[in-house]
Formats: sequence, C-alpha cells, structure tokens
Amino acid sequence: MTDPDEGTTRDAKLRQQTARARAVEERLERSLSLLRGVVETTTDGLMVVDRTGKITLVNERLLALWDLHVQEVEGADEREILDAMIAHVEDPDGFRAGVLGLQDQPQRESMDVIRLRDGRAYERHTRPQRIGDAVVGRIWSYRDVSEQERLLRRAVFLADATQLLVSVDVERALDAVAKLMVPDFADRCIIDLVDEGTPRRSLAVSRASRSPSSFAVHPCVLEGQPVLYQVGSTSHLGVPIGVEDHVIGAVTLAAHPHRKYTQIDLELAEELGSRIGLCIDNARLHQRARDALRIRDELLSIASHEIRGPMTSLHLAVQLLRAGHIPPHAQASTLDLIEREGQRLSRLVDELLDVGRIRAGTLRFEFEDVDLGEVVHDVTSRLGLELARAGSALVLELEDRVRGVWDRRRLDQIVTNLLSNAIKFGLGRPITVSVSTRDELAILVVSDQGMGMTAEVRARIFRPFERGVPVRHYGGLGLGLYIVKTLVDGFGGHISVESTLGTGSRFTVELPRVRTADADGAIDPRR
Amino acid sequence: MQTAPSILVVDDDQDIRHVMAVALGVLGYAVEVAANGLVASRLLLDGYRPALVLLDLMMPGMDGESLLAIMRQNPDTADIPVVIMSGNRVTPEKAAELHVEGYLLKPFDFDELARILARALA
Repeated sequence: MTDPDEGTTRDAKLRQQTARARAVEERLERSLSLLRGVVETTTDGLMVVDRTGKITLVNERLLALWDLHVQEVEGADEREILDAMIAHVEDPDGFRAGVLGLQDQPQRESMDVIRLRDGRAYERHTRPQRIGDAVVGRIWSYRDVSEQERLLRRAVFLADATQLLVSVDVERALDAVAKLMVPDFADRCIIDLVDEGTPRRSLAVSRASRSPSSFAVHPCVLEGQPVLYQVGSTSHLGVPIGVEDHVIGAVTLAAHPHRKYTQIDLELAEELGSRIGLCIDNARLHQRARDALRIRDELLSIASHEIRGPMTSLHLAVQLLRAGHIPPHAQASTLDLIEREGQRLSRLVDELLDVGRIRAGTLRFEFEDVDLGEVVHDVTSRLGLELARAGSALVLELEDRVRGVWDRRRLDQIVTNLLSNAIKFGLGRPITVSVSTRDELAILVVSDQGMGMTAEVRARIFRPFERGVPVRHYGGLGLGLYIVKTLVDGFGGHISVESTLGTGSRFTVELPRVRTADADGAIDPRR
Repeated sequence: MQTAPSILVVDDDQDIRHVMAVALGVLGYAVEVAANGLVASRLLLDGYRPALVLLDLMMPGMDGESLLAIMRQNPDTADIPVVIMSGNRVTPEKAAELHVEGYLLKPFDFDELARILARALA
C-alpha cells in the first residue's frame, strides 16, 4: 500500500524539478536568443567550427564578406569553403597555410590582417571555443579595417611621395613616385607633362608583363577634371597636375584586374597630382633662381670686361699726356679718345641702370611733343665719328615733320642703339635710316648691309643678355636691343627685324604718334 | 744703328690699339697692330716676326687662345714671347696653362707696361 503522504511529497518534488527545468530551459533560451542577437548584429563576420572542422555557426556578415550562400556553409566542412575564400584574397598561399596550420594547434589564438584583391582589408581574430577546460572548436572573426588601412596606406604613401618630390630633379622624382604606385596602388602608371599645349609622355611604369604606354590621357583631365573611368574591364583614374590654376600634366593609373577605383582613390591621386605640381613648380623656381644667378654672374663678368677696355685707354692716354709724351699735333686726337672712352663708360652705366629700372618696373616716361626726324639728326651727328671710323656711309631718308607724343630721351636711346648696332655689325658698308608715316604710325627703319643673322639668332636678339654674336666679341652688354624693345613696347609700338646672314639687317620700329592706352608711362618688366 | 724691337698688339678695341701704339712708341718699340687673331696670323704668315706679342683674349673673328695655338704649332713662331692683356681676371694659373711670358690685367698703367715688357724681353 502506498502511503498517501509519500505520494504527495513525490508530486511536490516532481513539480519542483519541472519548475526548475523550465527555469533552466528559459534561461538557456534567453542565452541562445542573446547569442543569436549578438551574432547577427555585430559588424564582425563570425564563424565557428568544431574539432572535426564542421562549421557550426556563421553570421550574415561573414557570408557577405566571402560572397557565400548559407546553403553552401551550413553543416559544411571548413576545408570545403576554403577555396571559395581563397579566391578573394591577395595572398592565397599564406591564407591557406594560416587556416590549416591552426587545425593542429587547437589551443592557439592569433590575430592578423587579411587583404582582399578588391582592396578591402580585414583584421582576423581566432581563438579556441571551450567548454570548461575542453576545446570543442574554433571561433573566427573578421573585422572590416579597410578604411583604417586605406587611411594609413594613404598617409604612408603621401609621406613617401612627398619625400621623393622634395627633389629638384623632377624626372627622377616622378620616376620614383610612379614606382611607388606600381604595383601597390596601380598596375600601370603614366605621367604626361603638357608641352606647348600637347601632352608629352614623361614616363610610364607598369608591371613587367604589361605594355606601359597603350593608353592616352583622358581629355577631361587636361581640362583640370579628375576622372574615374573604365577601359574594357580595367578601372582607370586620371588626375591633373596643376601649377597655379594651370594644368601642366596628368597622372593616369590603371588598376589591377580585380580592383575597381573609388572616389577615395581618386582623392588620393588628386592629392598626389597637386604635390607633383608643387614639385615641378619648385624645380622651375629653382631653375629660374639658378638662371638669374648665372645671368648676374655673366653680366658682372661682361660689365667688368667692358669697363676695363675704355678704362685702359683712358688711363694710358692721361698718363702719356701728363708725362708730355704726346706731341702737340696728336694732343687733340688723344683728347677726343678720352672723351669717347668717357662716353662709352657712361653708356655702359646707363644701360646697366636702365636694365635695373626695367626689371624693377621703375622706368618711367616723360611724354612730350617730339619730332622723330630731329632726334635722328641729333643721333647721327653724335655718332658721326663712329660712322667715319667704321667707314660706313650714312643715307638718311627723312619725311618732314614726323611728330608724336613720346619721351625724347628714350626715343633718342632707341635710335642710338639701333644705329650703334648697324655701325658695329655693318662691316663698313652703307647704312640707311629712314623716317616716314603710315596712318597714325611713325615708322623708323635702320638698315645695314653687314653681317646679318640667322633665323635662330633673330628669334632671341630682343631677349636680355642675348646677342647675335658670341659674348664679349663685339663689345657692349648684349642689352641694347632688349632695352630698345622694352622702350618701343612702352610707347605702345612694335619692333621687327628682317635679316639674312651675310646680307645685313633691317630693323623697323612702328610707333603710335598719339599716346595709346598701352603707353602709360610705366614699363611692365614681364613684357 | 740697332733697330727697335717690334711689338705686335692684337686687340679688337681700336682705341686701345691706338693708345698702345703711342705708349709703345714712347718706350722705344716699333709697333704693328691687328684687330683680331686672324689679322695677326696673316701678318705672321707673311713673315713678320715681332720680338713680342701683346695679346687680348676676347676678340671677334679669331680669339687670342686660337692665335696662340696657331703660333705654337708653327716652329717659326712657337718661341715668340707673348704677354696677355685681359679685361677679365686672368690668374697666374691661366697664364701658366697658356705658356705665356706674363699678363697685364686691364686697366694697367704705363709703368706696369714698361716693366713687363722689359722683363719679357730680357
């Protein structure tokens, strides 16, 4: 017989056990729900495999990361999906070795960075799954660090590039920068620099197997627009190289086959383009400074030579006169010589001062009503002795009353310089100076039948420190025609030259007779 | 009667040639002048043998160094002493390199000219 009390006690225990089991089940469900919630809401990709290699858990993030479907993964063996994963990574062998190596070391934890071929980067953590002390599986988590990686690589890349671009040897710097980009950032890198409006391929770097020069600059880039575009299956980007709002070149990059450039890559390339621009600008400034120094040294050397010649004549002539070595009949010609050398020296000093004023932009005109014919008469009579010494006959063809509003002293300087050149290079043959008018223009022509010039020489004679003949050989500073052109420009006029080697030169100056807007009395040194 | 030693002045500056001719005359030398190396080389080719050449380096046509090279190649003129007159800094090293007897840096004075000629012709 059953004791009724005993039955009551058993029922109570059973109820108690059931209630406890229900509470445990409820807690377990709560924990599982929490786990599922965490697994699905985390931004990391998660995968858990058991000791046999069977996948026991994956989340959506992980499937998206590796481009997998849940059916491929559920209950599958880790090794079965390894190939699918490996297809995405930059270093397949390293990835495979990393996964398989850990299968034999269940206790090991590790962390590394996995780079995918499309440019993404993941921080990979792995640790054993334990129940108590027993290892029952392995947990893998992948955290997207593409943005941090990109920022870090961008910073490192720009720092490296900037270091290379500090050089004033542009070609070498560009070559080094292009090599920095290939193969990390691009499969091919082309740098074009614009030369007189046309892009000129400066350099091309590519991975060995590819042809480096098979693509052209995107036309938008030459208009200053950075651009992302596709050529066939290859992603490209192009950015301008700019200096002070001018496009002076372009960087064009072609991506690796699996990579597609993004706006972020374009921004990096744009930054690089602007740094290359700065490098080129710096190199140009450096070159200009060096040129300026070279020109200054050359000018000082020529000036020293040019001053020492007349100084020698003056020195000796004065000493000979003072010592009474010059007979009375030769004294007048010696005094002429002294006067002439004094004039030569003062002309040199004037030229140097004028160039200084032109360069500083402080040369000013004093406009007044001037007769060009009168100025020509003044100059020819002043240079009469030099004409006679050179043996050149002078032919004057002067129209009457060619008047205009000019600076008399500067107009005199134009005529003097042109006639002095004709005497110097005229080989003792006749020189013609003519003055005429055409509409509102006064026309001055100075022509000789002397040495003449080649086209190459003609192209540079109006530039400072250039002359048609080798430096120092014909006296003067090589500044005369530069000064003449600057003055003519300052009057709003125009100067041109026709010349053939061996037959002489003909300089034509056209001057507006009334003051024009161009002739503001100030000289722009850049003209 | 002994003839005065003759000096050839080669300089493209007409005034320098003129004043040098006067100064050298005062010092008792006979003088020939040439406006550049080419003119001087023609004089030498025609058999003129000066006791000394006063030579400017920078000249149109043929410069001083080219004339020196031509003179040195010809056994008849190789030993003629040469004194350089230069408007730019001629260093003793440059003078030694050109194997010349001396150099005058423009502007030089009458006494310097007399001294260097006396030494070169001694």
